[in-house]
Amino acid sequence: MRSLRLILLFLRNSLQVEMEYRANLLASLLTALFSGALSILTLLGIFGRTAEIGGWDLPRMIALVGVSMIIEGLIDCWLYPSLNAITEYVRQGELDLLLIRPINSQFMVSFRNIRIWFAGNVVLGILAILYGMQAQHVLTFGHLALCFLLIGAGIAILYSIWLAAATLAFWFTKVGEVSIIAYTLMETGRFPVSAYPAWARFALTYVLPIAFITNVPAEAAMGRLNWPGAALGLCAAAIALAFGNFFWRFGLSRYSSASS
Amino acid sequence: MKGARLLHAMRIWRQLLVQYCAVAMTYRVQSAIWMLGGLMPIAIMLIWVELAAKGPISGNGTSYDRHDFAIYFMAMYLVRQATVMWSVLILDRGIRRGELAPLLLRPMPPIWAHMAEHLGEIVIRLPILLGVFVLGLVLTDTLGQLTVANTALFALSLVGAWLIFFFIHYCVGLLAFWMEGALSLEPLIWYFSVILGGGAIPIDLFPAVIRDILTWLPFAAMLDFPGQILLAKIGGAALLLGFAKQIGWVIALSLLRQKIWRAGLKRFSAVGA
Repeated sequence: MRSLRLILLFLRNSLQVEMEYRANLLASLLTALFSGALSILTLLGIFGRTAEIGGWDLPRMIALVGVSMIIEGLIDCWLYPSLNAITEYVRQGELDLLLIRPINSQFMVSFRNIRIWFAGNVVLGILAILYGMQAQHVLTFGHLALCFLLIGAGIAILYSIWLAAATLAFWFTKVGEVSIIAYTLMETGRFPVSAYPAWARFALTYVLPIAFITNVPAEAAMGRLNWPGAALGLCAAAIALAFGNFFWRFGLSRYSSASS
Repeated sequence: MKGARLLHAMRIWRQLLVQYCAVAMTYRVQSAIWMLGGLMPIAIMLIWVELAAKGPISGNGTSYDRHDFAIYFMAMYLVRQATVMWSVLILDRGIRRGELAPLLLRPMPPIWAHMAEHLGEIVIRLPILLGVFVLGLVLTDTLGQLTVANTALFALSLVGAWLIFFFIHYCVGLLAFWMEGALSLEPLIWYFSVILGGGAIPIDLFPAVIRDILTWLPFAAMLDFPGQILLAKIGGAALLLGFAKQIGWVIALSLLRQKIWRAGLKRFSAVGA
């Protein structure tokens, strides 16, 4: 309950800043529109030459693009502003001030900065998923709910990986733009894992788990996911969260404060 | 008199390049992380090579087999990595925080320093980029398909590609004279150039109508054209036309940049910086 109240507080704080930059909403929506249109153009180009990619037909691919767009939108408005700030907290010593507050430090750094204007992609992503489901006549509430649940799991995995990478700042002080790793991951995730050569599939499922981040939610939306598959996705998210939390605490134990 | 000025300019340039190579060397860990982000064309290559496993994919009178896709996307990798730009960031910061002001005092146009900063980064990255490029070609068993002539022409087209992309980014960055969110336009340039330029699909494989439009845009001159050269898919008149398009875009964009720069600078001094 307290966490929820804090998140709302962070959101209100962020919103106050955001109101100063209202032009960003327009820029975000424009970017989302263009990038969405260009993704569709890519799909049309590919499907003009082939009937399927790794066994996925056009409606499924559109749902996959939708899932990617939602996750990218959440990256833009939440993960990027929050987690990318960690290396700056460490470098400028601001982390010390965060650590002495009576709140869980991981919670604090994870939700402190939210730029709600940059969520343009989320809106378009939902539309794309709905369109893909409609085209395949699988648009039911159950499928959609499971899809959103697994997108949550996917975000949890991405969040954990990113948090762990940003935590490296405790050792190296400046780790630069680790965000680039997340963006590359998401671009790779715009295609089904089955479209990659056999040797890459294992890595894309278990090492850089884009299978769980984008593929599984898209499968859920299209009603192609059975319960064991969904459970596996949720398990992967739980493991990732535990790993992220462990790594954060491990990093903190090695952190030599800026002022001592 | 003219010779003396040229000599002077060359001395400045040498100094700038040495300086910015040193800067790039200092931030080499960051460069390494950035380069991880540049591996994307290789992932797309894997997908196309898989798609072409059953047989070549044809469109608009040409066809691509799996080896063609390998060469094409390794070319995309090299072009995109050799044309990494962050001038929107530099200009946005320079204009809004006034970091541009000291550059204006120097006895040369600020764009020189901005160019040198990007070139220095490329010089430091080049050994690794070439290593990945050659390794990719060896692993896909396509290194033998390249000829010396095509590789040399490809290198030449990289210069044009770099200039086109530099000026596009610079023009967008200069918009910071008028607006707050110039930086948020950067992802858009990226999407436009990669998808409309052939970074995800070779231009030839788009439907004919779209293809005919795309070939006239600067993005195709920057990405698809060098790829075509390396594939040895164009020669003769088409090759000359391709280079003419590159030169045309470089001239058009550099004139546009000059216009925006002059207009913006008037505002900049008016603000009192």
